Amino acid sequence: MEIYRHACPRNCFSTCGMLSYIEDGKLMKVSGDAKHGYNQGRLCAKGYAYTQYVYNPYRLKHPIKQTPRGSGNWERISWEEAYDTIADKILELNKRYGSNLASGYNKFSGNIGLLHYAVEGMFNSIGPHTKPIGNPCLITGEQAMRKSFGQMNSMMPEKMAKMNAIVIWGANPAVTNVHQMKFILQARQKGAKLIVIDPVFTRTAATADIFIQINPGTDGWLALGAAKLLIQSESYDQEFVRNQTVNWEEFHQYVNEQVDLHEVCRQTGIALDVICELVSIYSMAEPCATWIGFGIQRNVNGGKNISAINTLAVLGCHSGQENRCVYYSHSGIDDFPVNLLNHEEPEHPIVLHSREIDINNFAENASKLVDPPLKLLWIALRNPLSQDQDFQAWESLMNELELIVTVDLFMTKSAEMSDIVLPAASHFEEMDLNVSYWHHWLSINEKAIPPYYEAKSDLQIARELMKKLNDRSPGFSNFPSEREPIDWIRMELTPSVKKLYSVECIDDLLEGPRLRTEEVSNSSSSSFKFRLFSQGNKGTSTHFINRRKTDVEESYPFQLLTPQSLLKIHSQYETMPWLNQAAEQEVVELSEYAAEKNGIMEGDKVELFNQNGKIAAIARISRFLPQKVILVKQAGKNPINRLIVHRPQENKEKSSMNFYDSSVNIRKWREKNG
Amino acid sequence: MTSIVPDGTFIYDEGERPSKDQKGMDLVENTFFVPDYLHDLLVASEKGLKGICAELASLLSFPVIITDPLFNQLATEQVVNKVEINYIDNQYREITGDKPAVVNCQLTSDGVPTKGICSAIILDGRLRGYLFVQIDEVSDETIARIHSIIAYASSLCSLELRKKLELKQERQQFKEAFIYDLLYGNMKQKDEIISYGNIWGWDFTQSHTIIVFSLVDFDYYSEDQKRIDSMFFLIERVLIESNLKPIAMKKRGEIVVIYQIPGEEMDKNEYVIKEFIQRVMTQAEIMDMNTRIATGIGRESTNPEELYKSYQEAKVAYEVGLLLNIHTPFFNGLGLERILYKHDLQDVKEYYDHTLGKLEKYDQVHGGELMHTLEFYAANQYDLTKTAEALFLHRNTLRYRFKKVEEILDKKLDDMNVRLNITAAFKIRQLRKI
Amino acid sequence: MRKMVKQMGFVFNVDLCFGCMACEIACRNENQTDSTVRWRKVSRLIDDTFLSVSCNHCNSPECFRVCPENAFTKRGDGIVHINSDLCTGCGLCIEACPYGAPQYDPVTQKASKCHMCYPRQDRGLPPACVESCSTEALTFVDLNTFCDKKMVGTIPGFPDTRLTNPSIAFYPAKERNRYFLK
Repeated sequence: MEIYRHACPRNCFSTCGMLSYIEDGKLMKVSGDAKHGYNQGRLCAKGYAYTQYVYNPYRLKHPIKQTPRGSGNWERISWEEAYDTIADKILELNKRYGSNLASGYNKFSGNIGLLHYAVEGMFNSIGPHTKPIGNPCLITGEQAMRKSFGQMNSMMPEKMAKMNAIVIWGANPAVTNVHQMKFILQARQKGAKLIVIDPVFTRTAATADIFIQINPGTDGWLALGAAKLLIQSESYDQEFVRNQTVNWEEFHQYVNEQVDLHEVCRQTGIALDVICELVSIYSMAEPCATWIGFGIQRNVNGGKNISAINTLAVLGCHSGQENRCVYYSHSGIDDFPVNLLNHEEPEHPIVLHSREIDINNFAENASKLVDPPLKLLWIALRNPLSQDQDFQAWESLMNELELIVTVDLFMTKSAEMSDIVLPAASHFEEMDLNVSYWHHWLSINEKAIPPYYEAKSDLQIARELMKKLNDRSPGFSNFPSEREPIDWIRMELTPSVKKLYSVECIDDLLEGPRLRTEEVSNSSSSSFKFRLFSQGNKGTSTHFINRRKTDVEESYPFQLLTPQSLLKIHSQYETMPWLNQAAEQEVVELSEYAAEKNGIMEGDKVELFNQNGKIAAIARISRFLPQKVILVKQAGKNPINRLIVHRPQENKEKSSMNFYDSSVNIRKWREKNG
Repeated sequence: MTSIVPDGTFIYDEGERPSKDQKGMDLVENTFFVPDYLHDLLVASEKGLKGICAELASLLSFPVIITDPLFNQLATEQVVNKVEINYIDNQYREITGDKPAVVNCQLTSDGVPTKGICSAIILDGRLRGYLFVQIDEVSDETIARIHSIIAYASSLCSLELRKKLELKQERQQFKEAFIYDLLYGNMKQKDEIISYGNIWGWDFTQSHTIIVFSLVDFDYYSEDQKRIDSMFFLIERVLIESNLKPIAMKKRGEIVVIYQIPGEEMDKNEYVIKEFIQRVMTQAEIMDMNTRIATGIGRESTNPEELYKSYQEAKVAYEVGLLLNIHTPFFNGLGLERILYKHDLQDVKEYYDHTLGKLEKYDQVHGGELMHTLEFYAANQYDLTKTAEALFLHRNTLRYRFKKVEEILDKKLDDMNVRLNITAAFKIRQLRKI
Repeated sequence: MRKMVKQMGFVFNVDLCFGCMACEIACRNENQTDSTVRWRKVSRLIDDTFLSVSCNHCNSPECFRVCPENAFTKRGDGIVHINSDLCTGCGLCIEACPYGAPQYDPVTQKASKCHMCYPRQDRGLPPACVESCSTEALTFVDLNTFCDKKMVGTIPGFPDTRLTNPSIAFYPAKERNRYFLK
């Protein structure tokens, strides 16, 4: 049996080191890579199901074409034909509009390996085009973190094991980051306290020593209230405040004058003595980790909430640089040139830049484009018709598009609405290089098996399609099609990367994943002064935006939360029988209050609705859910995101998607309703 | 001749002593001299405790006795009359190091008290036995002079005991593996079993049956593990006393005995087994364990490769015995219970519901005692008078109740078949199937 | 002939399990069982704690007792193993087992169950489920020699252990403070 080394490329904190066991070119089983210091030889349930992912009966085998779009009338075509059709369209659009702006893509994180930026590289190589910008996931928080700390690199997450207290705000590692749990529980075994603050009684909350349930979106209130108590009792780190912060006076005044503890209790729904318990944790003289989950910033107050939590975390804890650890995410990719993503566009005589659309409002913005309109859309590493919100906008966009190409391993909701679907390779069938947005390890991903039927990697498709274009129209693309995957990887290992990860060549990575050297707190980071919470631009006295009681929201009284489920990532892994034991029906969790108010019993068929649409589901009544919260897991056959509409924020900065700001109502299912 | 002083340093005869002028530790001059008698003792230890005993006795010209911790004599030398050990100074209550002290003791030789000195034999911090030297009318100075050699001999004895212990453990482990395989039917060849059995002197051409002794509510994480150890020891002793070579093994919470059946007659065999169990129980009573020991006996098997069946039967008998409060449950002696216990759970439940379900429901709704009354009636062979006595109720009250029962069940209680069903249903409940 | 009689058994620490299911799927990955066959099962207990159970390789296995084909053996290391050549798929063991360990495999039409990865153990590796448990909530030891006063024989929600004497031990959960919204 041959063994190869891999990195799990899913959009997940853990980016696990993985080994594959190959017999006669077939994947027999997988295991964790014991040399990977983060996952330490283990995988999660999804990871252990990879044999079913690779050899899944639903996996796409060949390029296929559908006429007309959406009819289900599929026909197998050759790669040649697929490339020809796509190239024809790109060239024709170029001729029609004088540039490639009518061609664009929608791509995100289906595989976060560095070589999957081939999609961006491919479009860059044809000059100005239409591209999505932003990050639906974690950018609001990232900006808040940079504002507070001046940088994004948090301590190694392995070090959580050494903490004396761990406070988790709105993260649920028991579901979304299982490998972190061992470090948390190791600390707990040694006597550390684990505190979880969340509106939902999650699996992580269930393991906590102290669980504090909070009204959704009010974490900032809690943090400021706790900070006020900390300051009042003078148990904050005064030396730190004097030397390491820029706006202490302003903050102090703000807390004194504007933060009313009664209001804090009212907003958060948390009793004062519970807040005091939290303060006692933060005023301990021992190392204490604060972890801010991505859920915190999925609402309109996201940035402010994070800034307030950061402030509480550094005020208490007798911080110093060492003990100041707020975990959010680690931007490991910043160390790399990411040559494919940053591939330089050839100049266009007239059009100077590519056209950028906010990915969080992609469909709506894209359908508004003129001169030229968007006509060709390339969807890869993403399933917007399940993951995005605002499906109506997608439908109208699709009506405008002349060619939709989707690259995927499975027939997703988006693929179903495409003209051409190209089969993508799994990570066992391609080479790649992976870093994490959480831990500090670098891994290589080897090619272990031949591609499944005719599947190809994104990079391979880019190489072949660009070559085809250049054959037709010499010099159309500047993509270096001759460059092999290993060449691209070599180019990522710049001298500074090699130093940072102590590698000399690729072979070192084949021996095992490498850990990034901890930066010794250099002068630049210690000279940075922390920015405490501030209420924002002068003159605007709104500190937190309250959920407004408009007429619309009167009729949709429940707040919709849509967390990840354990055995899926969005819609990925939906077709794996090991992970879907019971024929799963969509389940909506509602509070006893909501059930009683609407006469709903456990197991009833219900419908969840708002102005954007409705979905049917089976009711599960939870005694742990806040009264006005409704909870639905992501993805499924009838994706919940149908009910979610992104409200663009007032400032023009990039922001994450406000998935958790949607209001809904619920009622018993009626067979004939309009 | 070299003699010994109490602190254990050697005193040389003048001729052998290194000259005072050569005080320095010169390796060439100051050879590490091992006296002959130490060598002799060491060589003698090849012959076990007996060897050590004999050599020491000839060396000191005194009688030597080696005993186990309970003063059972393991080896003696130069003992003329029967010697008893009366008491020991400082009973070695606190055993600390591996080096035993030498203390005085009193012995009785043929009824006459004599003096002695004694050293404990200690292995791994546990007392394993004693070494006695019988001395008579000897000066304290002499006693002091032989302290050290006795301590040395005692250390040799402990080494010897370690060898024995290891050997025993080793054999015991092979033995356990063999018994284990018999109990789970892992050995399929009769010949193989018979020849393996011969190693320990067991005759598997004879019939055997399995007897299980179990500690009720065994708690692994308590003193119970030790209780099982002493029970195992006890059972082996009782077997030896009955002239049987013990075939037994400890398992978690239980001891399994493969018991050789004495003869052909079943009644007689049962009697012998009952007697054996009674003896074990009597012994256990002394150790205050009898109330927690329950037992079960499988059927005899002439084929050793099928002993695993007997083991399973013994366990069923044990469980059923506990549930029905049978003191010595023979699998053979179980009647209906045997069938019910093994029978398909769902089917048994349905049968119970069909027979008594209505009555149970009626009691629940009305808070009645009809089930309880009926159960006593069944237990008293459907004898009204006996039942009335047992329940301290008037016969008329009972008659009234049974009429009610007949109404609810829509059955006649004097019908034999109805009675059979009711009895069976109650047994099902007793067996905690419901 | 081997020397030691062992009783390999699982030890489950309730406090360290958060129901991630890695053990269950790692078992499938190792043994490539059919999707309806669950040798190991993770379930939610009362109090929002979880339980991961497979065959407990009982001291007195009911499966062993009821099997009409005598297809079960208990190995010297305590592992209860089913010989699929002898199994006729009658299903008696499936009904008899209080822990739901034997599973009917619709492909082979026979019963199959956890064998504690003895092929792995023979190579000195832990069972796949144990290896996969990132918090070491699930471990395995020789219960004949291993003993810890903090362990208990059963926990609320675990089936009656009297009948079969399963080779599993538990560490119970610690207490927690929970503040729910009113």
